[in-house]
Amino acid sequence: MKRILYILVLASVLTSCKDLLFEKELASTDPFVNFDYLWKEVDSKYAYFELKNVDWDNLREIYRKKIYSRMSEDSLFNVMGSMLNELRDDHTNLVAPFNVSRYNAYLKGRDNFEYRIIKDVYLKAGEYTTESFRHGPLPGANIGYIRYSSFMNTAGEGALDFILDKYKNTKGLILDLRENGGGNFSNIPRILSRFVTSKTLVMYNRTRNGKGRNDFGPFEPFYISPSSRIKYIGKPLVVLIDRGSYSATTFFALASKAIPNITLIGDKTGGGGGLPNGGQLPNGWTYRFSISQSYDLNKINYSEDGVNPEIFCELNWWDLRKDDILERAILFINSR
Amino acid sequence: MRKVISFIFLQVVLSLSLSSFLFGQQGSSFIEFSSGVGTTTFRDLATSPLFYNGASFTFNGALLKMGSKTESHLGCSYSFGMNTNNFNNTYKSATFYSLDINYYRLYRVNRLTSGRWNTKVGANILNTTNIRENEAFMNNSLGVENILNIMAISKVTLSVPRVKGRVVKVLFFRKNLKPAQRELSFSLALGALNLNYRPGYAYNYLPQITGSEIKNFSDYQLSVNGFRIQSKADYTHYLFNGNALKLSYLFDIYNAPGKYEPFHFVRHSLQLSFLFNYR
Repeated sequence: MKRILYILVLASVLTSCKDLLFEKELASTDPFVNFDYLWKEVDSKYAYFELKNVDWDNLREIYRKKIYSRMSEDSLFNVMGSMLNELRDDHTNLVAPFNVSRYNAYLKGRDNFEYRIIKDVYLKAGEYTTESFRHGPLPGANIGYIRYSSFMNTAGEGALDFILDKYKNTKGLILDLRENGGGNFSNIPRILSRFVTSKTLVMYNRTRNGKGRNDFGPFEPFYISPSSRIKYIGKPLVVLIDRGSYSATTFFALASKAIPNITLIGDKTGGGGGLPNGGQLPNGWTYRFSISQSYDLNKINYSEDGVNPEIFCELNWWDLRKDDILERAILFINSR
Repeated sequence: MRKVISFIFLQVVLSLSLSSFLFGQQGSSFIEFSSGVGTTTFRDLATSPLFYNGASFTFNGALLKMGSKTESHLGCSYSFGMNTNNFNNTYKSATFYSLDINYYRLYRVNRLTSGRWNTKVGANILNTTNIRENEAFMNNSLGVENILNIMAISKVTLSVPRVKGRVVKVLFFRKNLKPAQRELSFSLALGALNLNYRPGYAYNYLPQITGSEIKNFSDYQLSVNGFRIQSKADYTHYLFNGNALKLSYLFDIYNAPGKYEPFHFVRHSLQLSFLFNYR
């Protein structure tokens, strides 16, 4: 009996050794290993080398020279983070327990938004907070103002019903997406579907699908289908944007170009026209970078550098008694 | 998600239709319920080069038909757990859920069967659907794969009956052990045909955004590669009423390469089963 038990245990042990069957352990704090891993991942999957005119091979040469075996983690982070920032992409980050690398695209332009002005000057009569939206009628203008600060917050169907019903008799709406850093893409069609009456092609997307830097999958059309719920049709919608409008907001702005009654006013968006992925390095740090491209209806790829407004306008910080961009939007609606 | 649900639905339909094969065989029929604890280790090289380790809990249900000449098993297993990696003090955690459905049928090999030894061989169809979530990977936080294996399986059983009753004393406890039928068995299953349904090149589970329709899993690829090995050691103790208790150690390991980066998985599990004899 004992012999039989020994045989059973031995058989179980012999067939239960993962180290014999899998590739070796890849965890490593070696700076060269982690640098090469990150460089290779970006090389094989990043979507914007050509648009941004980035010589990724050259950057490898430049930054690898700064790596040495005994360097501190902080130093390694700075080298790799700086290399990623050469991509000029806020969807590209290196995340360590002690720091996060960021390009900060919004700092490349002026600050064009201060919500305090909106509250003090334009929503004095009262501001509604309906789920993720803050809104109110603009005094004396018969225009509804809606603030949506982040696509991370759900654009609830019930909230949209309430808002569009409340302002159904206005002559126009202003949707303020300034400093909206993006978030959940599913909120884009949820909002835009209230402003179209038929299925509308608004953009194309394509994703890296091979090791070559120009290896992409097919162009995938992005449609907005009309909502069956309350819509706002036949009257202008002005969308306010600035450099702090990023990622999903850039996609929203790009999609708006294809919808006739939507006009963009303000400053160019910050960019972020690619969908970011996510992954982990051998030393446990995590990273993300853009793996897809977005194109307008003419299949021109520019949104990664920002979507331009139809009407350019900036905030005058010398006179905070008014919001110049909002005033320009009111002027536009009144002129329609 | 629709594709994953369709897979699971197909598995259930296949299992129910296969269950008819269980009837009409000679031998004892059991309904088996079991639960187990163990450890799992996985690594998805598409998102991370690091192994994630953790504890897992398993619940199984099965229909089992056992006889001297043949044996059939139709079972469903649900496992869940939390796996972590804290290499270099960069703690990350991932939840893990797995649904297995399997069917095997074994036939006695007379040349290798004599006396108390019984050897059977046969085929095992095993389908596994995994859902993992690791928020640290941002847009790649959700990992889903489906692995279908057609395996060759062999099982060796040794009957070790307690012929005479005896008294066992442990500290202050005294137990009269009655004569009982007991079995030790060891089974080994090797994947002969391994199908993997894994993410495409970019991995991102929202690879293409199409406005009002977001196409989850549209970039997934089916490939025929990889391997799977399962070994199981059982100790079965039959009760006087025909039911049985079984203590098992299960080892499961597979490599699902997919078309791009592979997924590795290992599970060690200790399970306690109760077998209801209904025929």
